[in-house]
Amino acid sequence: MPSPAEVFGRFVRFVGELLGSSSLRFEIGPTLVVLGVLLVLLQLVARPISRWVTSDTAGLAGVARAMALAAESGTDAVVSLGGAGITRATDALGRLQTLAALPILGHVARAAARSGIPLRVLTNDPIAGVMAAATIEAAHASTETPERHGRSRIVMVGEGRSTIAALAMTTRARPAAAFAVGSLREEALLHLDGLRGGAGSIATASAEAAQAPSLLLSGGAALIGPEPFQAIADLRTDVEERTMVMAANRLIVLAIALILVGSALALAGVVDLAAFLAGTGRG
Amino acid sequence: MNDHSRALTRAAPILLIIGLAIAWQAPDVGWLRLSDAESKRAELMTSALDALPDQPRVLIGYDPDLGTYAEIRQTARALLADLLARDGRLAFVSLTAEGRALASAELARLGRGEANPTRLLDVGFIPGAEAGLVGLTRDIRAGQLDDGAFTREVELEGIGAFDAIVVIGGNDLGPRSWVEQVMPRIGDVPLLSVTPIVLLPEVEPYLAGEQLAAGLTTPRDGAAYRESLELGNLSRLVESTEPRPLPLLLGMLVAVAVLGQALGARMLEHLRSAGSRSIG
Amino acid sequence: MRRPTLTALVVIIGLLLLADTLVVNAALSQLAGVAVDAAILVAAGAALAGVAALGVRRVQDLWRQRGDPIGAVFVIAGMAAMLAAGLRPGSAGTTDPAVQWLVAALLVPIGATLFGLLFVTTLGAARRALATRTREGILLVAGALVTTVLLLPLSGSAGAGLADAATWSLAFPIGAVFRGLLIGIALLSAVYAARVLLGIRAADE
Repeated sequence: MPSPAEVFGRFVRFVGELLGSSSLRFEIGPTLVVLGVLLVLLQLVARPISRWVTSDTAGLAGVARAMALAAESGTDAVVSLGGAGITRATDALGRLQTLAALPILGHVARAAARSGIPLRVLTNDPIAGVMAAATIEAAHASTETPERHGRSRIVMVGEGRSTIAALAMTTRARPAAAFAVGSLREEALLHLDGLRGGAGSIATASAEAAQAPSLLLSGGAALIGPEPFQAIADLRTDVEERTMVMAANRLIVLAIALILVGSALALAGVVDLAAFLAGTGRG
Repeated sequence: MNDHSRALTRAAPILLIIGLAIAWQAPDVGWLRLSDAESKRAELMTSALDALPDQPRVLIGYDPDLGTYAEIRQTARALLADLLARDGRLAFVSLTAEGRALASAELARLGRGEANPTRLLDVGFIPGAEAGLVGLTRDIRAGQLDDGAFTREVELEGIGAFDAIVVIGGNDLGPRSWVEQVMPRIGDVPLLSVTPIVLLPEVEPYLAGEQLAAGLTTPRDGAAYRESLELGNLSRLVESTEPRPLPLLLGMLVAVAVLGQALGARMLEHLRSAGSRSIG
Repeated sequence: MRRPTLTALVVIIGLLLLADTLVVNAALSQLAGVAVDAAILVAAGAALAGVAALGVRRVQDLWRQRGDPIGAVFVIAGMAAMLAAGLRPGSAGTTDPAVQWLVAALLVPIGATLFGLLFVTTLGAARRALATRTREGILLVAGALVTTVLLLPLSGSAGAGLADAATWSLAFPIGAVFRGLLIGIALLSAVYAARVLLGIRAADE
């Protein structure tokens, strides 16, 4: 039977072989960039800072009023989770936006639960539908209104971004409030025009840069660019949400500093910082 | 809005369609030109293709979107014909359902055009989106039963068999996903793309950073590239008619008129209210 | 309520995939490959389940005479037609002529027509944005007007000048705005993705 020292030696040799047979996939610069994002996030998670200034850009904090109006008119509220879904054949940014839409759905669902308003959630992905159903159920549980849960429903419209846009355009429903939160791409204006046409008010949120003008043109409150990811931090006092936004803010400041310093260095002909950090030209 | 305005608003889309139909049938005029005479993107694409080895093996990531396919279809077909004219061997793979449907149709069209079948390989549909892209870098299985030499090379060498990757993008999975998931896992293989203009903001930084070797991102770049081609008898594989610039001009002029009228009315109202405030 | 088992699974798989992205190692690659293959199977299974659930729901809607009966008939008929074309004995699947006819004759024209509506919808949205008298609306419409003029397909020296101005505006002022948006989006999504990978979730998620 090997002694503890021998076991330890074998383990060290194993780790050494493992490290020896490994290499970095990217150059050192891009690797440090990826690790830097994690380190900034972990630093704040370990030591969250409590000072916070709320900026509710889309007016989502006032969603209770929209729900009160819906209660008076006897209509419902509709929430569209965008066209990306979770398991659809789309890219990670689209999926992340769907994940970021769920806390906002939870906020709207809690307001709807308190007012007794049924929610209609539109999605083109089955897993997103399951997660939305769980979010609504959690909202009713947290507001102690389980008896109202059965009135809300998840509408699975079928595969495709154009499908959910077409449904929004052709539905005859007239909800008191409409929310479109998630990935909206070229179908964005069709989707939002369809939702806006029958609804009393509309709030939109999408991190698709190319569709920022569509969201602004659609009328109503709009969260564009990175704002959908940080909106929920303004709506509830959740440490993890605010930590994420603070981490991102620190990275944005760092990015701005790098751009300024890198531009100065590149103009002076000293070094090309962009190539070092991004590994450009590596193919 | 008075009755006259209401009637005009309702009739406007029909009038627009009629106008576009008339413009589509009208003869070409010399002072209209869709292509950009000095399209750097088109030149870059041609240079990137010229830099490929003889008889290049090219992986075609065919994932256009049904809604935007009409915009890039002619350019995509011209690029495929150009690659075949350079004795290229093309392997088609799709990661979206719409892309797979369009890739199948494109392969069928190439077959009807009597393209050399030994130069075409249908890898098929790979599910899982970006996970599928990562899986593609590990091994590739041809979708059809085919024991041709090209198939054997691809199955033996995997993605390393290819001299270039061309991404025909659309709405969901485009060049960005290939740059993020595939390029770090393979060597220096040039990545080229044809994308609709809606993807221009996200593709432009990759072109500027040379993570994309070349890309045709606007209809004008596509038109300039198509003008530069000399395909010989493979011209049968491209569309015989180019997009008509006259209907395009008409649509753009309608947009300018509508936006200009609305903006002008708004500015006039602002000036009138400012004037009345100063008088008051 | 958090489930520690699920959180641990998320963290382990997240760190495994992250390590595989950063480090080239054969053993690590094999382990990550297992996770990737599992993700592909889950995605495929979810897609099939979604289609089945959609079909069942629409059949139930017709049976119980609720919802939109015409829409339900179209959904069921479309699914049946495509499944019959692709899965009937002797069919070649997606390359079968019947499937390709359905795609070319129905899906492509319907999809293209839907997006053709964007022209009218965009103009309508622009006019409504101006009617709201917001600063953003005026700036957007004015910018769109200028860019449209620059993109007019004219030939000759006038067209070349417009094309040069369009290229400059796309590369610099418009490009600068989008670069800022893209940097912000990239950083927020990277932090959000790191949060998901590390299993850092809010209490009620």
